[in-house]
Parts: sequence; C-alpha cells; structure tokens
Amino acid sequence: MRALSIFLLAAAAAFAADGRNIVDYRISAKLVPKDHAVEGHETLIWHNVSKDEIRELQFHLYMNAFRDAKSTFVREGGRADSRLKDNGWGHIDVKRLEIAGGADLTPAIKFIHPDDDNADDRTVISVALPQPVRAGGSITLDIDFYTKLPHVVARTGYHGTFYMVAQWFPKIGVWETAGDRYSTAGHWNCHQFHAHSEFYADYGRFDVSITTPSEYVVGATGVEQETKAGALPGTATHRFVQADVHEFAWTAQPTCLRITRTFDPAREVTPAELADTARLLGLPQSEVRLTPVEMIILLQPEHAAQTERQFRALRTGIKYFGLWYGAYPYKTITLVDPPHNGMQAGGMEYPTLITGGTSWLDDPYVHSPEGVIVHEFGHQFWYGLVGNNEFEESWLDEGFNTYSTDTILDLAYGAQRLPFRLLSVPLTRFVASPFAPQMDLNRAAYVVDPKVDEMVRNAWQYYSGMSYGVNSYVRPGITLTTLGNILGRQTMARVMRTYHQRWRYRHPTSLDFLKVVNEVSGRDMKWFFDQFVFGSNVVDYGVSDITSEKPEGKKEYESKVRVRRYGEAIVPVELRVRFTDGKFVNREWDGRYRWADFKFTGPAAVAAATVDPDRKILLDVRYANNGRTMKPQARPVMKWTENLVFWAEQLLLAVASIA
Amino acid sequence: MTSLAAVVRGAGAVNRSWRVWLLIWLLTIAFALVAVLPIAVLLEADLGHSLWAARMFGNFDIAWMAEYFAATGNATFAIAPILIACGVLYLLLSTFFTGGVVSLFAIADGTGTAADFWAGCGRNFWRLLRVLLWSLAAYAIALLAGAGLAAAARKIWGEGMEEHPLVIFGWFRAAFVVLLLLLLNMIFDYARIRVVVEDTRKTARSVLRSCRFVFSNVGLTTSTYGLVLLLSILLAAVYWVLSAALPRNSIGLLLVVLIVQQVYVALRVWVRLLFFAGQTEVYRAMRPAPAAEASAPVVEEPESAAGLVSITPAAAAPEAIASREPAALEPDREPDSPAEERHPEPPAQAAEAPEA
Repeated sequence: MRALSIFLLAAAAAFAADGRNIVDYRISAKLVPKDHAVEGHETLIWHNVSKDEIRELQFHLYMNAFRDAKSTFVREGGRADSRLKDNGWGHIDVKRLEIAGGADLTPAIKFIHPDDDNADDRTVISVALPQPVRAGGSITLDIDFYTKLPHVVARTGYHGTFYMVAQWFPKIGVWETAGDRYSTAGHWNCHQFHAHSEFYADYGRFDVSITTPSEYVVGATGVEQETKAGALPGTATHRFVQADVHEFAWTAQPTCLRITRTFDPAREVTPAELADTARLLGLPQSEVRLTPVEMIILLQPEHAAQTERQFRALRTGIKYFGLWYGAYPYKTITLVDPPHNGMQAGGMEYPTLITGGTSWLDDPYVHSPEGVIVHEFGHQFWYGLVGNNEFEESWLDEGFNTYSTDTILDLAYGAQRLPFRLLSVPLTRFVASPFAPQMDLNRAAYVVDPKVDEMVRNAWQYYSGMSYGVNSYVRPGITLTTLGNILGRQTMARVMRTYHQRWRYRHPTSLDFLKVVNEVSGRDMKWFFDQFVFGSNVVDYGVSDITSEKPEGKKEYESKVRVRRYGEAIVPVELRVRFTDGKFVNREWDGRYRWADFKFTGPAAVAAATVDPDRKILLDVRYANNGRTMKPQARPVMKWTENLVFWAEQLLLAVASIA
Repeated sequence: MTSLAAVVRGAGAVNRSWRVWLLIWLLTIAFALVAVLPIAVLLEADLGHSLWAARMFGNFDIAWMAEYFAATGNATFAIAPILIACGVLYLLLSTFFTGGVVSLFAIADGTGTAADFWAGCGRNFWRLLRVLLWSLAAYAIALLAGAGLAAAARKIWGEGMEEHPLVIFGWFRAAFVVLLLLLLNMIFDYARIRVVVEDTRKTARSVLRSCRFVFSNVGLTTSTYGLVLLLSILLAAVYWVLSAALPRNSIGLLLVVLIVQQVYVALRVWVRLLFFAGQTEVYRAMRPAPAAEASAPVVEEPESAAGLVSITPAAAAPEAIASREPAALEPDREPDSPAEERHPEPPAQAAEAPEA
C-alpha cells in the first residue's frame, strides 16, 4: 500500500512537472436562481513546479469587477450599462479559505492592487502562508465562496433564466519563476480585472459538479460524466470533468434546445485535402489526421432555423484549425447561443465551451454567425491550447486567431458583402453592397490610426479601447498576413504549426514566436518584429513620378520612375513597370533610402508603375499612391461622380418633398 | 371627380407647365453638381493617376475610404458645410417654386403664364415658409410618436429573451410612422394649395382647414395621393431594374447610365409636380362651401418677414360673408389678388365641367 502511495505521489509529481497539471480544481456549485447566485465549495490542489519556495498565494476574484462603480474595470470605462447599475451588480465573497486539514487562512486574506493604486478594487487577493510551499511540493486548499452574478456583462452573468457563469470562482494566479516568459525573478502574475483585458492561468484538471433546478439544460467545459438527482427535490446535479485546460465555465437555461452531432473526419476531410495539408506542412499524413469530436449546440428556440448554419461553422473550425495546427485534442465542443439581451455573453471562448451570437433573422449573404463561431472555436487553439498571457500580450491569441479565422472564412465561405439591414430585415442581397474580404476590413480598421500604439503592450495600457481592439485583433491579423507573404505560404504554414505544437499547454511570448519564425524560415526576421510587433512605425511606399519621352533623333523612349518611402518603416519591395506595348518589367528595391529612380530605355513608353504590385505588404497604409499611371484615370472618377450626383439629386428631391 | 380623373388632369397640367418642370430639373442637377463638385475634385486628386482607381472600377473598395479619411483627416469634412448649405438652399428654393407651381395649376383653363408663375412664387413664399415650419414641427411630432411607441415596446418586450416580438412590432411601428408621415405630407400639400388658391396669409388656419378637408374627403384625397405615390414607386422599381441590368465598363455605357439616371430624376420631378397638380384638381373640385369656411375660428398669425401688414378681422359673421360674390367670400382672401381677378375660381360644382 505504501509502495502504491509512493508510486502515485511520484506519478503525480512527474505529471505536474510538465506544466500541464499545475492546478487541480474540484468544485461543487449550486445555482440559486432566485438570487442569481452560485454557492460553491472548491478544493484546489496547487503544485509548485518551480524551484522557488512560495510564501504567499494570489487569487483572482474576477467577479468583483462588477461589485460597484469603484472597481478598476468600471473606472477604466468597462461596460457597465444601466441594468448593471440599477440592480445587477455582481460580486464574489470568499467565506472561508483554509489549508485542507490545517490552518484557516481566511483572516490572512488581503486585497491587493498590483496594476494600479485603486484601493477599492477587489479583484485580486493575497494570502500569506504559515508554511512555504517547497519547490516540487503542493498545497491543498478548501474554499467556500458565494458568487452573486451580475446582469450579463463582459462575458458573464444572467439575463432572465439564462445563466452564463464564467470567471466565477476563486482562481489562483500564475507563479512565474526566473526564466519563465520575461521573468528575471520568481513572482505571482495575477493582474486585476481591467476593462480591456482577458485572462491568464495555469493548466490543470477541473472536476465540477453543478446543481441546478432539474428543468435547466446545462452545458459546461469538459465531458459530462453523469447527471443525478440533486440533494434537494426538483434539482439535478451535473458533473463535468476536463484535464489539460486552464479555465472552467458553464451555462444553464431551462428553455434552450440541446442538439448534438459528431464531427466525423472521414466525412469532412477528403483524402486530397489530407494529402495537400501533409505536403504543405512537410508531415506524414498520420500526423495531420483529425479525430472525432462531439459537437453540442445549446440553441435559443427562435434560432432553431439556423441549426445547420451553426453546425457547419463548427465543422469548418474543427476541420481547418485541426488540419493546420494539429487535431483538436478534446472530446467535446459546446456552442452556447445567448438569448436576446444576453449578447454580452456572446462571442467568448472558454476551454471546450464557446459562445456565439446571432439574430432572429439571419442574413445568408453575410458571414454571421459563422465569423463569431469560427473565431471563438479558433480560441481553443490560440488561448486554450497555447496559453499566452492575455493581459500582457493579447495579440498572441486574439491576433493569431484573427489571422487564422479570417483566412479560413475567406477560404471556406468566400468574400462577404458588407451587411445591410433595415428594420432588422437583412437586405444585403438587394442593395448589392461591396464585397469585403476579411483582411481588407482588418486593414481598413488599422489604417485609421496606425501609429497610436505598439502592438505588444499591457492590454489595459493601450491608448484607448479602440486601440486595444486594433492592436490585439486586426493589426496582428494583417501583420501575420504580411509576414506570411514575405516568407511564403509553405514556410508560414510550417511556422504556425511548429509554434502551435511546441507551445501547446504552455505560456509563450512574442519572442518565442520570433524564435520559431527564425528557426523554421532559416532567416533572421528580427527586423520585421522590431518594426511591426515591438514598434509603431508605418509602411508607406509610393510611385511619385513617371516621365517617358523620346529624345529627338532617337528611336527609343527614355523613361524614369521615381519611387518614394513616405513612412518610417523599411521593407524590401517590388516595383512593377508596365509599358504601352503591354510588356512588364519587375525590379527589387531595398526601400531603405527615402527615394529612388529607376530608368528604362526601350521601344515603348511607360504606361504605369506600381510598388508592391501583389499587395504583399498589407501594412502599407496608403495603397492609393502605390500605383501611378502616365495618363489620368477618367473612368472611375467619372463613374463615382455620376453616381454621387445621382444620389445627391435623390437626397435633394427627398428634401423637397416636404416643401 | 375621381382620383384617376384628378391625376389624369393633373398630369395634363404638369405637361402644360413643362417649362417649370424643366427649370426645376435643371436646378436639381445644378445643386447636385455644386454639392458633389468638391468631392469629385478630391477624388480626382487622390485617384486621378492611381492604379487603384482602375482596380476599384468594378467593385468599390471600402478600404480606400478608410485609407482616404485617415490620410486627409478633417480636411474631407470641410466640405460638409457646402453640402448642408446646398440642402437648405434647395429646400428654400423648392418652397419658393411651390407658390408658382400651385398658382399655375390653380388656373383652371391652363392659361397660366410665366408672369403668373413668378408672381405666385413671390407672393406666397413667406406664407409657404411658415407652412414649412408648421410641417417640420408636425413631422417631428410624428417621429416622436414613433419613438414613443418604440419606448413602449421596449418596456413591454425589451427585457425579454426573445428578439422577434420587438422586431415584428418594429415593422408595425415603422409602417405606422411612415403612414403618419405620408398623411402629414398630404395634409401639408393641401395646406400649401389652400394658401395659394385662397390667397391667404393665415397658414395655421390653412393647415387646420386642410386637415379637415382631407378627412372630409378621405377617400378621394388618399386615393389621389396613393395613386401618385404608387406611380413614383413604380418608377423607382423600373429604374432599379434597369440600373441593375446596365453594365458600366466603358465610357459609352457610363454615358448611357448617366442618361438613364437623369431621365429618372426628371420623372421624379414630374411626379413631385403631379402631387401638387392632382391634389389641386381635387381641392378645386371638393372645395368647402364658403359659409362653412367662414364659420371656422380664425387664428391670428405674425406678419410675414416682407413687412406687409395685413389687418384681418378676427372672424367674419356668417351672414355677412354669405351675401358676397364667390371670389370675395373667403374671409382671409385679399381683395386685390391679381391672379384671382383674372382667373376667378369656379364654384365647386363647376369644377366637374370638362376643361376647355
């Protein structure tokens, strides 16, 4: 028996040492609908896999961001609508915190504010330990807590009988020892909950029992092990278990539809696709083969007609993310469709559970809800499996996921039209709005104010909420696309695959990604990262002038194309010159000096010249000056002017109808 | 009088006034050009030599717009005052022309001249401007009523977990607001017609009387308005189909599209005139008996900005009005109206007589 215990302890220590099982949560939670609250008991086993002695523990109490208007979340301008302010505030109280079978640590709880001096913020606590946790040791804690859910806000809360329960339990921070990420000394990485930030946690195992009134349909992270009658009449207890994840969220609603299907790789991935992917990645087909996944959708009854759309989007995500980065390793994925007025819970990711979002009348010509579903599923890979610190380097999940999602959407669904609705009725088909590929939309958002921030920055320290969005989502999306255009499709695919596989169940940094880029491409791309990841300079190349003339007595034209670098950033670019006889000439320009002249002598005059003719550099903030023609372009300006005149006339006549 | 007859006669009147139609059409083009010219200059400056322009010829690129606004900053918005000024001036000019247009249509035998038109424009401008202000207030109230309904719906269904009750109610609300706006538009059209035909400065009373007129003859007034409205919708549908079918990939085809667009604009101007012409026919045919007119309360109004002083009796005794000649029966009619002297309005029953 003793030998068995020693073996189990040794196995547990070895298991924890790989960084995948630092935490082990066992939680019993009871939903109290009349109070919109959860009563919980948590047993946490925390493994110290560092070489440090740990003398204090730090925990996130995320739900206290919604306690009142004094929290850092609200002060920073977080979404606190009138419903929240009227009577919907939420909070979490730790009733008891003690070492299992040992000291009561409740009196030692202190609220701390590692990111600001807001003494009223209660989203992080510190607990001094009577005995340090030795290197390689572990500690087991028993915690009783009470969570009052807010009216749904920032991804969590209730509306009516809908409950999205997330960031709801006392969650231990991440101990970063020297050498981890950017750390030079051991410390807790446990940030406050900010208006514009997400989360960061260690991997481990969750075993959670959720008791709700028996009529509630429950969905959660992980695989449901059993459902049994609760201790009280009219209640039911659902037990979910999942290993290798760093978060646990759940949902409950009595009226939603629960629909399940299986993702069958044999049906979804053709042999040709498998072979092409294996060739692209330079891997045997056995390594890119996918595995079956149980897909569960918890759908609002008024969205029942969209069932097939939602399943197709899920299948698309499981297929392409799996083929490109490695098979989805979990057995289930649950998609929660929030109800009307519950959309603050929509568009969010948790391990094996995501939330989507749609409207009653869907638009077949617009990629919604597909965009949301594919994106949130993508977070299973960028955030779920590769667990970067979202507080400090949000681009590593949101940006990587934007890049992946938008590539997949354009591939699987094609370019979408800009949506148009009138009185909630989708009319996109009838107004023939312009097509807009996802990356074009991303670029459009980026060029509005491209210099305001560097991409890598603490999420709460961006210039504004808009800048957080641009620098976490769209700018990384076009930066990675530009990087891919420079490296080539195959190299980029292998970079992303290698980075993903190497950092699964770990916490990488931007520098770790740079290392993979250099290693896989065989090139030093530090210049690219310095300018576009760690810097804020912009790219703007253009053709400023073209001359082409035939000197007297000569048979050939002497032409000159002048190109300029208007931005600060330097990228090698291509120059393509087209002549009046239809021939092309390509030239390389290192783009270093502010301008350069390219001279040509030949039988034809220059018709037009373009820098970056294939638009590889999506980061170029001015496409309009990239290509220049010798002769003015009359037709487009004429077309738009005549349309503008027509619409101005319509407007004037509409005005006149009241006179 | 049927609504179809009113519209047909109105169409004849509009066609006889083709010079006015032409004038308003050309002015509409001119105003649109003035409004668009700065934008066209900016477009030419940014894309005149750009290869992107050729690329965007087929499918407008939203990215260009973002890039353009980012590059030019607030400079682009400097043209906003020009656009607003164009809109306001056009509205005032339309108000000015309405007086002349209705004056012409009110002349039963269609012998109106340019002098009648310009005289009608000048004489009625300030009155119609006041009607415009009344109408703006009424439209605002209608929109507020719509907002009130929306607020009530939010109160009933706003906190629910289903979207469709709100959406469906939103359709009914929109239909209600649109119908209300159309009704107001019709009432104020009659108010304008009354101001011009009766040559009165009492705009508030004209609005109230036109309201009564519309509801007293609700079948004829709404069907006439509806017929012209239907015609304008049909025109828009034909244009939409034609426009969608026309390719625009050469200068020649762009010219064809330009012609189609401007023909459509001309027809829209024609339809706008038809609203007035058809409704003027209805008003002349169903004009209230003078005694009934006289019994209505009189609303005192401030004088026009032209500085004219009008001393109007607060209310005329019915027995006194009944003894006057038809042209002089109106209590708020100005006796020296030159148009009325030359073309006295026929009594209501005479309006049914075939035109000369």
